[in-house]
This record gives sequence, structure tokens and C-alpha cells, in this order.
Amino acid sequence: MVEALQNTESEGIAHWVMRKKYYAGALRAVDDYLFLFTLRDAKEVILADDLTKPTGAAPTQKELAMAKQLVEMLEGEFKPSEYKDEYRARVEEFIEKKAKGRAPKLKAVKTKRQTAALDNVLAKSIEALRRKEKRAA
Amino acid sequence: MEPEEESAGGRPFWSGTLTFGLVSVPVSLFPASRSNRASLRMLGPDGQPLARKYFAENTGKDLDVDEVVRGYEIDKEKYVIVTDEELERLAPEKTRDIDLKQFVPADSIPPLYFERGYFLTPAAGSQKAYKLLAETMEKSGLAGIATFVMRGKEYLVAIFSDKGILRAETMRFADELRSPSDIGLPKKKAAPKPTVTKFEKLIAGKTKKQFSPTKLADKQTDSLLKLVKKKQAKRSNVVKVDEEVDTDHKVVDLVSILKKSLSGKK
Repeated sequence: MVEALQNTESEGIAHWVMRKKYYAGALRAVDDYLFLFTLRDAKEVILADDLTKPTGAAPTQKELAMAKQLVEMLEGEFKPSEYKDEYRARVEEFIEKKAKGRAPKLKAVKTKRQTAALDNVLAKSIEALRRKEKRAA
Repeated sequence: MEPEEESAGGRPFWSGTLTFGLVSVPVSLFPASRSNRASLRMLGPDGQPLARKYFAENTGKDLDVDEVVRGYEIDKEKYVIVTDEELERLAPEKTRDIDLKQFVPADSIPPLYFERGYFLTPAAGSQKAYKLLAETMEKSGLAGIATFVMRGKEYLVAIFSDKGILRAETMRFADELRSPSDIGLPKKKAAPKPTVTKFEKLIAGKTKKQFSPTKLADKQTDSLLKLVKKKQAKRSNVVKVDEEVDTDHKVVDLVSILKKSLSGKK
């Protein structure tokens, strides 16, 4: 089945009942194994087509060019193992300390926002990344 | 994230800020899917509607939802109380911001990672920055990756841009996924050629050029609704329930909420 799906570059649509609940999904060959992905009923999903584009001011060509440059500087390969759930460990450590009556003081979360014009912020972002790259080199 | 928690009464699921470089885009998150399963209400034997309430076992006292706090069990019957504020302050850089430190080709993320989709709508005054990010990502075919904390849990998230609208997909962490060898699957051996050819022919015979989402219709819900209609027509087992007054149970039209939010109206 794996080979047949791979050779025909297709995937199957399947329906099944598991623990008295009805499911629909796709059968795919991933690497050398069969995977069954459960899918949502079409009525349950909202598509971008169902919505309207946001209104308001449009960015300028200059801003778009700078944003492109900025995003490309941050471009890389998707390496999922580089991302870790660090938060859970922080919560557990905090609880442990609090249980001993030594809860550390936590600082209030501040929201800092840019107030400068968009093109200024973009230019500064690009500059900051360049400096970082130079330091790394 | 249970469906019950989904933006009751049209409020966003989460509000925060997308950042890339030093640019910040304040946004609201709305779920991109809604449960279509027929909702069954719990009733007493004679059709009386039932309500759920918290009550303290040792005092027998009923409690309001806002009196309830959360505790973490450290020992049998011993809890440490943790407040929402503390949970937020434990990851100050992640509770309000989704910092897109990396962008990757949008089609390079295996679907195995995806959990749930959310639409992002611009907050008042951030429309231009929102459009800037949406257009840039869509043109370059890139998706932004970040981790952030929402409701006391850290999520890996990918931000996609589709038709001018930004969408977040929460993802599993790599160590949450099991590999075929983890669950003890043997290494694949090559199948006999004639069998493969036979399967290929079978597949070819059932192949459609295009995917039709109607093939995914939830037949269980449909047949349940049919049964309800039949019973209603026969007047059998129909109990009358008083008019709903509680707004939390009102059906929310997500699409119109999203449209309103995208057009900057509150």
C-alpha cells in the first residue's frame, strides 16, 4: 500500500468509526509508513475565502521592500527540535519554591510598543540584525 | 483547548502582539474551526434543564466561577495555589508577544505537526503593519515560527498568510511526536512487485482529480439530526425546555465576528 500510494502520488480519503465516534480522514504514505490524518468536516472549517480582507491604510512600496529584506534575513530551515517547551519547567520550578514558602517576586509584564513610523522601525530592525550578524561572524 | 473555551460571545480567544524585528502588530486570535457536532444538552428525567456548579465538598457551599482558584497538587491533599498573574509573569516575553524570530518556506512544515488553526485580526491602529506582514509573507511564500504562552501553556506556532489574512496554526513540539520505531513498527520490507501493481491499479480506478471537501461530511451528526426531526414529527420523547436566557449558550456566528474584526469594527 505504501509503495502504491508513493508511486501513484495519491492519498486516500477514508471513513471509519472508532470508539463509537465517526471519523473522516486522509491516508498518506509518510516516509515508509501509512499515516491516517483525521480531518474536520467541511462545515467545521472557516477558510480565508469566507472572510474579507482587513480594511485600513496599505503599506508603501518602500515599506514592503524593507519588510521583504527583513523577513529574508530571518529566513531559515524548519528545524522542529530547536523549539522546546520551556514554560512547563518554569512553572514547576516556581511551584516548588512557592510550596517551600519562598516564592520569588515576579516582575509585572510590560507591553512596550513602537511609536515611530513603520519605515523607521523597519530600517532599525534591519540595522540591528546586520549588527548581530557581524558580531556572530 | 476544549471547544467550550472557544471565544464565548464573540470575544477573541487570545489577544497579543505579533512581532518581527522591532515591528509589532497587535492582533486578536479567533478559532478557524467550530464544532459542528450536534450539541446535546443534559436534562433531568422529565426534561428539566440541568446546570453545572462548583461546590466545596467539606463545607457543602456552592461557589461562583470567579471564586475558583487553581492549585497544583504537591502532596496528597496539599496544594499550592497559582494565580493567572503568576502564570503570566513566569514567561513575560512570551505571554503577550508572538515573536517571529524565524521564517521558513510555508510548504516545508510537515502536516503531522499541526493541531489547531486560528485567524488573526488586526487591533485598532495596526492594520498597516498587519497588511505589511501579510503581503510580505504571502509574496515570499514564507511562514513565521515562534513559541508563545497562551492560557498557561507554551505553544509552538506557525503563522501563515493566505489571501491577505494571517492565520496561526498551533503545533506539537518535536518531542511530542512519536516515530514509527517508538511504537515498535518494524522496518519496511519491499512488497512483491505484482501486489504493488495491483494496488496501484485499484488506486487509479478510485482517483479523483480534485479533493472534494463534501466527502468529509460528518454522517453521524447528520443522522442524529434526522432522528431528532423524526421524533419531533412524531411528537415522541419531545420535552419542552424553557427559553434560553444564559448568553453563554447562544450560538456564535464566527464568520460574522471575524469579518467585523477584520474590518476594524468592534
